[in-house]
Amino acid sequence: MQQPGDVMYFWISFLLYLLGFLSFTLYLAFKSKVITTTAIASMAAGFIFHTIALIIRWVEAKHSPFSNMYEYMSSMAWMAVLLFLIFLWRYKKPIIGSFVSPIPVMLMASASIMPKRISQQLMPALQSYWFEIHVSMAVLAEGAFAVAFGVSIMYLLRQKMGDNPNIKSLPSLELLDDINYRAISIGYPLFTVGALFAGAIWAYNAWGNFWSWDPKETGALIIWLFYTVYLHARYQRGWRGNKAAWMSIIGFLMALASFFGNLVVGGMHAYV
Amino acid sequence: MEKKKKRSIWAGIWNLFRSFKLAIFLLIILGVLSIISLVLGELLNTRFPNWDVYYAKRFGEGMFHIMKALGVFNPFHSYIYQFFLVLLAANIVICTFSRFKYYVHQAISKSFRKNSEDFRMVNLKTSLELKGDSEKILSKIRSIFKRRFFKFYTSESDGHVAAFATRGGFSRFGFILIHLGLLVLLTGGVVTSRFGYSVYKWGGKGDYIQAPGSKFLVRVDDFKVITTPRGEIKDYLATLTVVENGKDILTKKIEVNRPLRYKGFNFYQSSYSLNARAIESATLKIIPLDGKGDTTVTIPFKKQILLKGTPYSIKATDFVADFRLENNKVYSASAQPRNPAVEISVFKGDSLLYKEWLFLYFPDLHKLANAKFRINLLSFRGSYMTGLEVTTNPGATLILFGIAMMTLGIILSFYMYHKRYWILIESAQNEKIKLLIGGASAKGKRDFRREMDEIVKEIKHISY
Repeated sequence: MQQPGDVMYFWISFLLYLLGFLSFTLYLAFKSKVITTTAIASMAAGFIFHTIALIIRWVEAKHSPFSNMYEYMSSMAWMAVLLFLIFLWRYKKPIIGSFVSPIPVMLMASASIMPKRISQQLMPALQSYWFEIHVSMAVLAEGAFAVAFGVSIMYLLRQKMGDNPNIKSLPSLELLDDINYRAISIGYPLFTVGALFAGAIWAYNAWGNFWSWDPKETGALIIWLFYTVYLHARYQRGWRGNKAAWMSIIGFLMALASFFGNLVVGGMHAYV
Repeated sequence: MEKKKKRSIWAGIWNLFRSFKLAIFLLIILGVLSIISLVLGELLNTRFPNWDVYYAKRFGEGMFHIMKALGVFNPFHSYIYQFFLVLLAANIVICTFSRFKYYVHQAISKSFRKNSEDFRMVNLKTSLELKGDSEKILSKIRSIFKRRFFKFYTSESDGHVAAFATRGGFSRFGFILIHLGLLVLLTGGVVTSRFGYSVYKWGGKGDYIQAPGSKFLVRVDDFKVITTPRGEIKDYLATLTVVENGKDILTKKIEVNRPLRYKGFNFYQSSYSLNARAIESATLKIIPLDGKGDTTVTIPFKKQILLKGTPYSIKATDFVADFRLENNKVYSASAQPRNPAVEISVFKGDSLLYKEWLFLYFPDLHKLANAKFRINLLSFRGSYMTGLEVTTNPGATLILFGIAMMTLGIILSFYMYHKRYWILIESAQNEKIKLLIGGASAKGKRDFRREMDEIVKEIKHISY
């Protein structure tokens, strides 16, 4: 069978991200201008090819590219890169890339081993505009949580090994904490409205119940409760820095667990 | 003495319930309970028939009843889970209402800071000295803030001018909307789980379905499974007609994402199955016993068809997907076509000659006495039944309303910030004006600092 037209662009962007990731790793040791430029340029170029890949997929499949694990993970990586580029542009600290760029690379690697066949026909339950709303917002939210995760690891490293000359060049603890909070402040509303509310309304339209304690639903609820605790603790009890970083890391690991859980557990979100 | 102690207990409980600490604690407890419930749901699956009998056997009657009472088999509806949910609701109510006044006040009040002492609690502040006329400077400052869509108020006292600029005060209501919305949503959920129901109904073409408690019937006019040429399922399409007082009220084609809603009852296309007792049509081979050529005919279900060139007509009068015979009664052992059989009636004119079962997999089984021909069942086109999820959801409006409130509240409190600036303008000697500028933002401190720097810079360079 002929391979879908987007796959070539997918691989090109994957390789470019890989190059970007390697350059950002080198950047930790050598702060040369060439390395910085290579790193940022390959991420940006990868992003362009990735965007083309997703558009081709969308056009060929005639539905948004979220209907299987390959499409979903690729979209999630795209979101993480987009957010990364935005943060890079706003804060002008290329070192963020050393910790955030592994995330899209890992997501792309996982996507690359999934079946890439286009399912021309969406199953009837997915034929609803709530599908686009629900999944796109969930992807965006998880991409934001991924960025918060990367920044939190930087925070802990900077805190624990601040004397190391390579680590010293990381952004200040205060800035990292701020980016962590911001990324979660972007992700949380999207997650609440997209993953939970839009999902519930869609379920009501398709099956008659807003909520049926499907494993994925419960997983999303747990993640939501967790980030809700994060926001309340931060707002009122001043949980910043160290604690906030740990919470952000655990939160994203839970999101990953719920994400890969459907390969094991089944339920209404079992799409491969 | 006694009274005082009592009051202090109530005050203690009140203070506990208005605290964030309790909210955080309850959220964590609910999270942990949800994780336990998720695991229990996977370990002790109850999604199969007679699960209670199975687990009673596995754990023993006594143990099973204890486990059931603890809610192990239905953890999200257990008393423990609901108890903590009620506590959280109480926490939200008390927390929100005890802060209600504060937030409303913060949102709408004009707070002037009229002397340098008032600025003590403001974190971000600068003082400036400008040359010129205080009136003109004030009007310039006003236009700087107006350009940024701030509301600008002034108050004069003791020869000082105090100004207050505010923007996005309504975003403070976001907090109230989110929490009240969550309560509305939870209430809707309770109403639905208490007073709503969800039952499964199967219907083949022509069947009538009644939702429990409704005063009307729903007739299944048609049901189709539409597939693509490659065999992928494209759509399930059921045509339903509401029949009330013997009259057809409305007809609607329903699909998976498009239910029929009528008078508070909802009919969802949820599943389908092969109809075990009906077909669309049957294809038969007619083999005359006198050796003349065979003919193949396809006849629709339950319609008498004349065989060309003969005085005979035939009719498929019954169908069984998985044929069984017990005490002279025919029934289908399952909905799977494991042993499909069609009952054929043969007529001469209007009089019934005989009735016989034809088996797809056993063509030689039938034994027709004094027949002129043999009939074989070659194939059949199955008829499908639609599986409808029939529900009432009396809390749906509340749930949707709660979701709308929370969404609006989230937009207000995550994407809009309440920003405030206070300015004190004092006339000093030598035609100099002393300015004290302070600012505060509920969120987004970093951006706010940048904005304040810009504003201060603009004020510094006021010229006229």
